[in-house]
Amino acid sequence: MSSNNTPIYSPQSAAAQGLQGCRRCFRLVPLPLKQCDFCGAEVSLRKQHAVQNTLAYLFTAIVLFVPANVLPIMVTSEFGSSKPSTILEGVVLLWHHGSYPTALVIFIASVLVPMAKVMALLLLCWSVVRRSPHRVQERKRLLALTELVGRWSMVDVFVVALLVALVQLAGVLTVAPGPAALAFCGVVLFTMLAAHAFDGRLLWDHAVNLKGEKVDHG
Amino acid sequence: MAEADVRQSRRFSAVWIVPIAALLIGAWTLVQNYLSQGPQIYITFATAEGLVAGETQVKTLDVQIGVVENVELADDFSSVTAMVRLRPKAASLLTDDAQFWVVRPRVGSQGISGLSTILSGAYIQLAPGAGVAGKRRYRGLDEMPLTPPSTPGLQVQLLADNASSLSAGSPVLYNGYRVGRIEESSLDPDTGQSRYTAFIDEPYDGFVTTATRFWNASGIAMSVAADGFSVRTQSLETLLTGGVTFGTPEGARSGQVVQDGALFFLFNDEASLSSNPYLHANSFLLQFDSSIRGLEVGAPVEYRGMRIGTVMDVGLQDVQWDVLWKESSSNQIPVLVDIEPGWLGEDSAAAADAFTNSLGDAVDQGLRASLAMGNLLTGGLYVSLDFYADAAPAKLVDLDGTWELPTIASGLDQIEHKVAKFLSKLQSLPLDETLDITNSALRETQATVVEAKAAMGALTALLASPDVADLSPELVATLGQAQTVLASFGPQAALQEQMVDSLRRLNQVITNANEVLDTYDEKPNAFIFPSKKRPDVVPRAAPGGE
Repeated sequence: MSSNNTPIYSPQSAAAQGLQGCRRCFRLVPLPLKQCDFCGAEVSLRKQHAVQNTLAYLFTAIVLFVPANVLPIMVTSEFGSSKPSTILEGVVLLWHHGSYPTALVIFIASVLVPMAKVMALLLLCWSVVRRSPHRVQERKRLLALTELVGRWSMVDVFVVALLVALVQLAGVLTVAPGPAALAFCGVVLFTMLAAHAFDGRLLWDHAVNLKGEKVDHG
Repeated sequence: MAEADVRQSRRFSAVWIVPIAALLIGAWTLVQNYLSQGPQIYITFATAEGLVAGETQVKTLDVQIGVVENVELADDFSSVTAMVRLRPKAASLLTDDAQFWVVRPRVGSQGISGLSTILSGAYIQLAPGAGVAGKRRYRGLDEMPLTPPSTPGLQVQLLADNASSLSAGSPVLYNGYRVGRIEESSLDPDTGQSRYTAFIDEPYDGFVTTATRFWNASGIAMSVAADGFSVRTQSLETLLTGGVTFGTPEGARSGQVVQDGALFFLFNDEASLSSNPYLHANSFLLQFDSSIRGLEVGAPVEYRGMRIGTVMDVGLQDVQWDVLWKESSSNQIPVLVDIEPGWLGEDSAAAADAFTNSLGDAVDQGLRASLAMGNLLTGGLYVSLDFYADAAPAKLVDLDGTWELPTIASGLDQIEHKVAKFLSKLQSLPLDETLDITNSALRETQATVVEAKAAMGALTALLASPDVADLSPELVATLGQAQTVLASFGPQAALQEQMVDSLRRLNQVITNANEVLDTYDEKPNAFIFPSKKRPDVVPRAAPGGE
């Protein structure tokens, strides 16, 4: 039993040593077990249907991305004439008005980042499905970046929420959220869910065998 | 087996429900959106001023029923086409007579309108009509129509010879009340006439019949006459913006109900109504042998005292002479008259032609035109139509659209002729000679009397003489009787007095005859039309009478 308490460095992965991690209490559980013998949570070597779930969330995000950009995100009523504007219209308007930094921020946060995130996750899923052994480090970095940057996409939603709350000069100028705000919220949410559903360990499963040796598929 | 079952079901992740749900919701929203979409219509405007794609609203009764989705140039670049998406409920408003126009701020004589659009921007107003729904392409109006298409009432066309101060929105008055308005005014480029569209609201449209006449009530009418100076105006509004009044001329028959779009002539003022109140007329050419002096343009044409037309031209400067002189002798004076069937009932082109046809039959039966005296004081003439049984046979002749109506010398001409003849006879009488003879006869009579006096003196002397004294008393008696007889011839005698009286009367007659002759010299027709009567001479006794 004492040998169990002593940390032993092994180049082999836990899986190769017949262990799996509990994702709730982080306890190493022997492989055959389906439930954590400590906290009772379901355990598995890898996240169940990680690629499928990621793809499903990504697909949802892509679906929501369409109304998020086509429908107006904000309806500005000025002297009784209401003017709906989509995200891209807002960006173009800001650019024409000379607010280049704001335009850039909104463009990057609202358009570029979600799209980049979706593309990155798709790329990672594809590499897993293809069992690609190459560029494991780059892919790991990409995954980390995706998870880091994803939350900033909510900037746009916050802008709308702030404007709606602050600009309420009845009759003169009012701002109301449009249907795209909800859709855009969904886009951000589902890309975050997709990133969460992805199991980063899958990236190197095919690059390293269970004994921790690099495999050369080439 | 159980494990295999689990693996089978776990092949697909449950998370796939999320995108499927998203897709389903999206699809449902799309379908819902599509199904709830109203009709799409295209409205053509002259200009896109104030129209913004995605923003400009379409309203009716100030309720939004749609929005302009797109504004594009028409294919020929002469106008713009606005694509409008309406709400589904508005589909039934798209009648075939619905009207669209852009509401913009407007300041005019009718007041200020569309002020709210200064801030909110222009919008398209829809005025639904009463027709069948289903139209999708419309031509937008340049301006707001003064009368919405479904307003009950009557629309009439007015035609005026000269442009007046009328403009769209000017009032149409009846007895001073505003019962309608001018909707549109335009100038006919071909004829130069002004054409107006007027709308008369229900229930006043019943006042308009075929007998109704319209006249201009604009501005101020001033007249100066012997009894003073008079100014007439209508309401202040008509003074500023002009206006049209209508009514039925006195004595006109009650006309029939008119159809929408009926054409009326717009007279310059109320006074010119009587001169030429009817629109439809056929022209007739009359050739008179006698003088037409006194026949004025505008004089009536009458049939047995009933007016049926108007003299349009005397002398005919504008008509080609070669047409005029065709089949006529050159010493005739042409007179152009218009026969207007409106005086007798219906005022229409068909009635005018029908009247011309019936006139042709009447001419065959002896209908002739003649000049008649209308006003004895001014000598004004009018044209009279009547049947003359003894008239020489004639026909109604067509001269390229104008008809020649045969004429006959008037009764007046004949009388004048006779009077002139009589007067010339009277003038040829040797009155001066007769007077001389009479005078000499009187002189001789006077001499006779003087002689008789002398004879009597001689006789008296003779009687006083002794020779006579010797005569028997019988002779004296006889002489006395003779003296009495002679004395009756003296200046104091009744016989002489009578004679002198007779002579005086003869003198008077001659003086009167002279006077008559002078009068006829001055005024030949005084035989028929005596001059003003002199006050009767009142007889009175001579001063210190016998």
